[in-house]
Amino acid sequence: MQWFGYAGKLLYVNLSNGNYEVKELAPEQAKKYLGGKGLAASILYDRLQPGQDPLGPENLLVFATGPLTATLAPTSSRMIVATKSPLTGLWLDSNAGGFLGREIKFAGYDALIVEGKSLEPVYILIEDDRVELRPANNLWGKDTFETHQTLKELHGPDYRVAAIGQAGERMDKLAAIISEARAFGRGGAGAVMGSKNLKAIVVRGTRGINIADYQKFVDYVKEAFNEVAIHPDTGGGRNHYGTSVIYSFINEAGVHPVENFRKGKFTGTDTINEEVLRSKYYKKDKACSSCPIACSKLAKVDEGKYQGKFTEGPEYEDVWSFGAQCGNTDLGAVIYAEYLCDAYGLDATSVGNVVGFAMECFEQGALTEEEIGYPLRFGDTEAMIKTVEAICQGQGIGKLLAQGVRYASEQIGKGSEKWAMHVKGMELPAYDPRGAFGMGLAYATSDRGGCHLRSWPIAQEVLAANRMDPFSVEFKAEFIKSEQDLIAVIDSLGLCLFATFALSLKQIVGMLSALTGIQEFNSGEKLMVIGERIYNLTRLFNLREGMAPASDTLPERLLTEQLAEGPAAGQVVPLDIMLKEYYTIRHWDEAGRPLPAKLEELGL
Amino acid sequence: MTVKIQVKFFAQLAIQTGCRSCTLEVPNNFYQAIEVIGARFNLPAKEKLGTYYSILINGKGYSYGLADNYELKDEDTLAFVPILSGG
Repeated sequence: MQWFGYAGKLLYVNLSNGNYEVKELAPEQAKKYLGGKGLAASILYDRLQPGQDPLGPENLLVFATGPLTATLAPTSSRMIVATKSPLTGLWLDSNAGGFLGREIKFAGYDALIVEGKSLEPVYILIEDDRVELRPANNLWGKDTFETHQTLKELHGPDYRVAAIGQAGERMDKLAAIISEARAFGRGGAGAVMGSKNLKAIVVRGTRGINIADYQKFVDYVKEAFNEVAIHPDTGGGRNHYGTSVIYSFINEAGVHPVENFRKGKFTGTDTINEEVLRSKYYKKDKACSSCPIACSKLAKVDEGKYQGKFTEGPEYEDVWSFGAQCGNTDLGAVIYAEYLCDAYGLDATSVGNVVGFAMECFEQGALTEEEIGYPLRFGDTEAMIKTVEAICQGQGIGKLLAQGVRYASEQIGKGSEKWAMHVKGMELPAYDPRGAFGMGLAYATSDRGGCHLRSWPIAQEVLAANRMDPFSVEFKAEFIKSEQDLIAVIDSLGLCLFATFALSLKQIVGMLSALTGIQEFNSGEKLMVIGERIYNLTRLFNLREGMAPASDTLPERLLTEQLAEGPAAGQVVPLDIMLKEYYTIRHWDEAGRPLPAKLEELGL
Repeated sequence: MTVKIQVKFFAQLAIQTGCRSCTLEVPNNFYQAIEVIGARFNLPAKEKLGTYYSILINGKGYSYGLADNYELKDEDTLAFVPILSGG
């Protein structure tokens, strides 16, 4: 079959026996699941037996691109890594931009599926048709920066690399996969890679991509680039400030969690805000492949205790996790903490979350100075950095905290479970849903646990663009369901979520149809059905893994403890009523299981 | 009647106006107040409200449940936020 947009091939690499196999992408699979997240969900659901140990050789690691990945479409750098998460025991897809997706596609593959476990450390080298396992003993123990440098020096600067650091080698549950400073961060995919003795993948592709209707595709792409350029977000603030463009607004609205979600408004904003980041720390803008937004920033500390430290970022989530979450007001320390997480290969959002948790444990007496080795209070920047270093190095209290906040709280006990801010085991990010109830439903029903990237209703709720009262349950279930389905589509296409701020679904359909020539993709309605199918499939995956319906919930604090001050003072999240409506709208039963008629309608 | 309020500008609006935060005396009617603020900072305040930027009144979006004759009070905070679509 002649493929357009797609490479049309899937590369299976078995680390146990060192063999690889190239299989044809089935047209029906592409039509049903698009690519990226959807394709990975179908592969994992079909090939992974339920109940397997996420860190056992049976688990699969799927690197999947979408049909738009590596094309001229704006923000089409994206790809996903999917697996069974060691952090949650459930479905995980972690999405990143950069250049890796482009290279995998240009090498001729829509997805790389890694199976089994190598006896010795290896890396996978892919050069178009040539696929090899190479020894990685000399790389084991190196951080991600050293690993990238060594492999690029060996193979050449055009080779794209994704690697784990020491955290992944130790199989810490917060371990990430780092690809040229972009992170497949959340959920512990780096630990799965470490469990397979796979240090890195190195890819070079020299093929192109066929386009079904070249002129039409280019016309749609030109229009899309223009829309992204003139939109006040993607063409303005996001380029200038990066993802921290939202920082002051989120804090003003009282939804910026402070000190482990004990407060909703941070007072340290004289030294931490988007303007200080831009004027004092950002040195250079950087863009992913095919991206006109360039939201990535290279930041460096010029003075003070952390002088000379640098990072690509910090992203808004991490300015929060190492800022307000720990009561820290020194942006230099935020930059250093993020550098450490990138180097050792850890999810910076979760690491900051778990440090804030440990601070609360110390202040409440559940962890002692003897157990930690030093006092660990909110606002103590040096203690925060010491703890991040301990997590990165897998030493002392850090060894426990690197397994995530749910596991740490279970081990610590003493009532600390109620300070563990997670959903289904994944640490919550930087928004307090007591100030925007829809965000609470989005967290509770995210298919990978506590995450803001399945639906982000904050703008609509707080800025009231759609007149959704942040403190009402009205319209929330409908909105969250619809956005989850849409984002499942975007994550399957290979586009960045930021593109959707400027582009309508109609414009995306235009590009996709002209690119692929596939009739099944020629309307927004059809794509939304595919999105709904994907979201139901990841739901089925989670139910098959034994996810209890009761885990569609929030930490007790958000359901019962009112914020004392700020715009959300006196509020708690009325989750039950929204959740019931959400299940009804999704055609799931009262225990959150998709009803047979819905599954039949979706072809599942 | 006038009131003294705190006015904040976030992200690129802070650059455009040259101000992150200040105290101003403005008419107590919300829509008259933003016209005065717009004139002072050379912002097309009323025309671009909801398309180019939004406003938080004491942390809450302006357009939710705000009557035409909504009155500001002394010490209220008006934060001008450029249109932002996601985190």
